[in-house]
Amino acid sequence: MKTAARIARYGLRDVARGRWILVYGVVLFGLAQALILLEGDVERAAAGLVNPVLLITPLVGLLFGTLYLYGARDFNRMLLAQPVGRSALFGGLFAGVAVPLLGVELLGLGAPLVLASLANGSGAGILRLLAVVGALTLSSLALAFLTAVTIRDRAAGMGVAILAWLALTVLYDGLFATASLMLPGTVLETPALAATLLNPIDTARILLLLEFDQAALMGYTGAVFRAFFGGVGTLVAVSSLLAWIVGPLLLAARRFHRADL
Amino acid sequence: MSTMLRIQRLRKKYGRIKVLRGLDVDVPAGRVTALVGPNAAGKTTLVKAVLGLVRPDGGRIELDGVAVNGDPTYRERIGYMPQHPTFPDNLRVRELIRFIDGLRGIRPAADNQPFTRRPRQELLALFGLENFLDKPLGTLSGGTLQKVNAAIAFRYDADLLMLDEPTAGLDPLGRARLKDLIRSERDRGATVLITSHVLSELRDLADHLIYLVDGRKRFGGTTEELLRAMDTDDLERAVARLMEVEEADDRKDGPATAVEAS
Repeated sequence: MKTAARIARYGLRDVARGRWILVYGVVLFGLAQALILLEGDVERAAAGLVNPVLLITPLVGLLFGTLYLYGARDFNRMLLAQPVGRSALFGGLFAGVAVPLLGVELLGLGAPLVLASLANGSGAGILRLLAVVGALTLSSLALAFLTAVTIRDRAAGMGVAILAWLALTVLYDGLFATASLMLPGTVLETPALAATLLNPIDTARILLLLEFDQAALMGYTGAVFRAFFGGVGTLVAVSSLLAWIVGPLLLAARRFHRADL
Repeated sequence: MSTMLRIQRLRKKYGRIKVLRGLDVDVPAGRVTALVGPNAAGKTTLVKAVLGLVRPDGGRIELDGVAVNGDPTYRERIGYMPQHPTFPDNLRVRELIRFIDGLRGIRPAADNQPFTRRPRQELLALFGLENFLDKPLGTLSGGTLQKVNAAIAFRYDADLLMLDEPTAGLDPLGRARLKDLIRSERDRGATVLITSHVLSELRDLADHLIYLVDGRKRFGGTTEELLRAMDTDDLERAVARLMEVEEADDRKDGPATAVEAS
């Protein structure tokens, strides 16, 4: 644990000094600030942030996670030549990326929203927005680590990461729309629920839109979720999102433990 | 003569390619041993297996009589110098060294804690790194990174030093100092295992030589024994003759014969 924390601390220092993380923070801050100014209301600004943030944060998590692990491959060999176990190294690497990424999201999105909500006295949904964005970031980092430890070739791994993002966002929505159009009148509730739970981004979207009570933005799966689960829906969605963090992370850790480096 | 590193029947394959085929190697303690062989002979895989970076399919690795069994603490006794060091770009040299110190349980002197092992701080001056300590590693040249690499590998008075093409990228002064350092480490009693293609450099360093081909040992003995067996006084020529013997064996399609040290 102490070794993992040490590795995480130095990883954090390396990542935090990189230029890209500053750019990412500025983009999030600009987006949040622009919506606050445009909407004139924190709650509506937070609801407006849901869709862009659900596109941006998983993409950044997937790309940065894979790039980071591929980039660290040679240095990892050097670290493992020290009296360091693989589990400690894996934990340290993950925390070393996750902590600065979560930090910059908290500052970039959270700071303008919290400040505006303090001024306006509203904004109950901000906490949930930040929590869900954080969970989605951890989930996409876990998927990125799983990709990078499974596929040795860096270019192929990056390709898979981008494809995964496309599949979970654009392709997923497209397939759903197509299925609804091609099967009019068919009862799609069960497949819709299953599909949502199999897609962390959709699960996150449902969780947030249930909070902001934006029925018009919820889409088909969101409506189904509310109808089926009512108050339990949130619990199911949270469990699904947690499974999307823990599952890929455990698989990645197992592969890392056995891999030839 | 005691053995620092004993490899027995070590096997490793990547997919269907067998890289180590029941390799048996003894690295004598307190000597400089050169690990040589053509490309894809299995040298890097052997070094990685000793460090625990690759998982062997079978066989046994012993460090100073103790089997390596997955517990990473045995690596406290090893100093490793990889061929192409890659460090985090945004860390400074001083931070990297403190980081590795920390992983080895060595606290900075300012903590007033007793050192478990005192790191060799003077190596930073030996390699002319004092002016680079506060520079980010991403801004350093390849040669300077190699000096950082050397300063870390030799910093902890390791019992076994594993050096992969250690002089690659170093300027003549750096090369000379590194070679002096290797000799002084041997004189201190450390075991040094060098993987290199530059045989002319190994000549005045190596006491022993292990020659691998196709994941098997084809020669293991002192450099004098090899020179005698190959009837030459030039190490480069002796290894070239070993390779010729190997090629002749391949042409005959028969099993390759290991050259016995007398």
